[in-house]
Amino acid sequence: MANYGVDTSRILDRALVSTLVTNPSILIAQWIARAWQTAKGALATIGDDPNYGLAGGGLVQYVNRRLSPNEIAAMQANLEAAALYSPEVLSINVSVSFTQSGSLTINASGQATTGPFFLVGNVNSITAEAVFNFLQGP
Amino acid sequence: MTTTLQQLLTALTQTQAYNDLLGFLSAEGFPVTAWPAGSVERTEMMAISSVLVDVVTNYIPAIAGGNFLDYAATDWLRLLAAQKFNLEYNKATATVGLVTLTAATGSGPYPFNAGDLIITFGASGNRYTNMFSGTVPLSGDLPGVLFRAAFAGSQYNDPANSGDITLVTPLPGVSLTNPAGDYSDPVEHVGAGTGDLTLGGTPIGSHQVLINIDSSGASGVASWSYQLDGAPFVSVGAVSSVTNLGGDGINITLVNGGSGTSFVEGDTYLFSTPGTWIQDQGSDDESNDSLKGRCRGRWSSLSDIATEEYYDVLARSTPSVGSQVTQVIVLPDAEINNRLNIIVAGPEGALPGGTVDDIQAYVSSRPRITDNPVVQSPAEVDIALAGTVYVSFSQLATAQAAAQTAMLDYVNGVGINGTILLSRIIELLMEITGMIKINVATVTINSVAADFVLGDSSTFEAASLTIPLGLTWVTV
Repeated sequence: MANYGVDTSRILDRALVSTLVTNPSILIAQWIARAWQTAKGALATIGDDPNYGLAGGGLVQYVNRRLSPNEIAAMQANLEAAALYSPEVLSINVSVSFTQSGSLTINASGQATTGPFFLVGNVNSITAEAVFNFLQGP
Repeated sequence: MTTTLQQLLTALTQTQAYNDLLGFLSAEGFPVTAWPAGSVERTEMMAISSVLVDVVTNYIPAIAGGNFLDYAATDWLRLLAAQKFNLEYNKATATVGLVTLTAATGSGPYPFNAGDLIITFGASGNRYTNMFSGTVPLSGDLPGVLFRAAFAGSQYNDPANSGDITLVTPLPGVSLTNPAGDYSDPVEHVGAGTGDLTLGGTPIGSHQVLINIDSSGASGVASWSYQLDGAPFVSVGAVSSVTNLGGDGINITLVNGGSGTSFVEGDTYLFSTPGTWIQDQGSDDESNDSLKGRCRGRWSSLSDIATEEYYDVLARSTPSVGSQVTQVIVLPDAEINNRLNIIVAGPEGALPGGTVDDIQAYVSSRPRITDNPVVQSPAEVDIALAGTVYVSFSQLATAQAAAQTAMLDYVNGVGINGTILLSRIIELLMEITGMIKINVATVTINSVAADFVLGDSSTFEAASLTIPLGLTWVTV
């Protein structure tokens, strides 16, 4: 059973108008973005996969934290592990950085079974709101 | 489509609900087969199905079955019992018992008010609070202080002569005991006579004795008979005393009252040996099965001709006794044609004399035609388990505690005149975490490697498990 197909375009909240997504690279990138914002085990409360999500509690756990280089490396590994949980994701490379204001920027690129994918995320240090941009592959 | 009662009562799994939702969506053309965990639509469907399951499994069966005794439970059952059968469920009761406070030489006096004193039993951790005021005298004893359990429930079943009771609210120099005499105190009397009994001797074993006054008069003039442990009544004639009753070391003397007729025909006197420190046995909320039984038995109360079920309902519905009664056996007496023996027991076996007295008074005020119902508790038979068991070294303590709990639950659940199965004991012990094996040949009940049968057609017995268990624990 393929994990690609058609899904509603959504990262966290429901939009006023639902948009279907069929582009495979954007489908997988949105899946990764949702996984990063879901605490691992949260889906178990509705009877779904308890292993889906980001260990430690979603991206918000990293907002406004002072992270040492080792902790940043661990954070990147955590993000990569959450993404690699999907069997469609063959590889992923994540880099994170903090802006002067404390906002978190995430750059990720990788290979899925149908080709490359790219996404850039920015987590606001005040609102903890995450905004993602999904880039189609060349 | 007609929906059957069975469909309404059948729970739904989340998988079934989710698949049903996918079926509807698939029929409308949605690509349901490509949604992994984390996809938008799948997550929404899982959330919806989890709510559906909650409603279909918890609410709909309760509502649909709430009007039927076979299917109603707890709150719905209690509503049904109250509305349709005019029966309130019996609420949990708290244990009440007597404690003696002793001030060491030079200590005291200590006056106290109700609620001032909190005691705890070391073995169980159970706490009790005093019910009335009093004063521990200087260098003296204050016996008979009533203490009530902190919470209602049958787990407050601490033994007499505990030896490990402490005051949480300290009184320097004061020690506590909860003695149980040779006999239950007081002797429970039902009837109009002014006389009483004096008990003596050295009783052997656990027994329950019921005295029936066969003809009125003073001590030595009134004739009376006794029933030992539910056996047929034995007449002793018009005597003022009996020694070594039934060969069990029980001495009984009839003592005249100050005025009026001391012993009136039909009066009864009930006592047991050994005594107990407990006045009221704590009990849990009435079980669903018990309440259903009382509801079904309610129909018998509409008839002028009583049935055994009618007396069962009365025994379980006695006000103030509440859910202390968990077992009832109603049997016509083997010797006296109009006498009906009503054997009652609680979650921990025989009930205190006062409780039996309350039930007797309630039942006696509602007899049918010529019936003579006699309420009594079964005699308690001590049950000692022995055997060699092998347990993992690291789990010895937890296995021992679990074994005690399992054996208490089983033995207490056997019921009046039940059979304690050797095989069931072995089976329950083997289910305990950490248990490796049991030397089956060494397992005995009261030193006999066989099932133990309580009572018979004319005697009524309930089991009382000896704690701590007499098992030999070998660690591996």
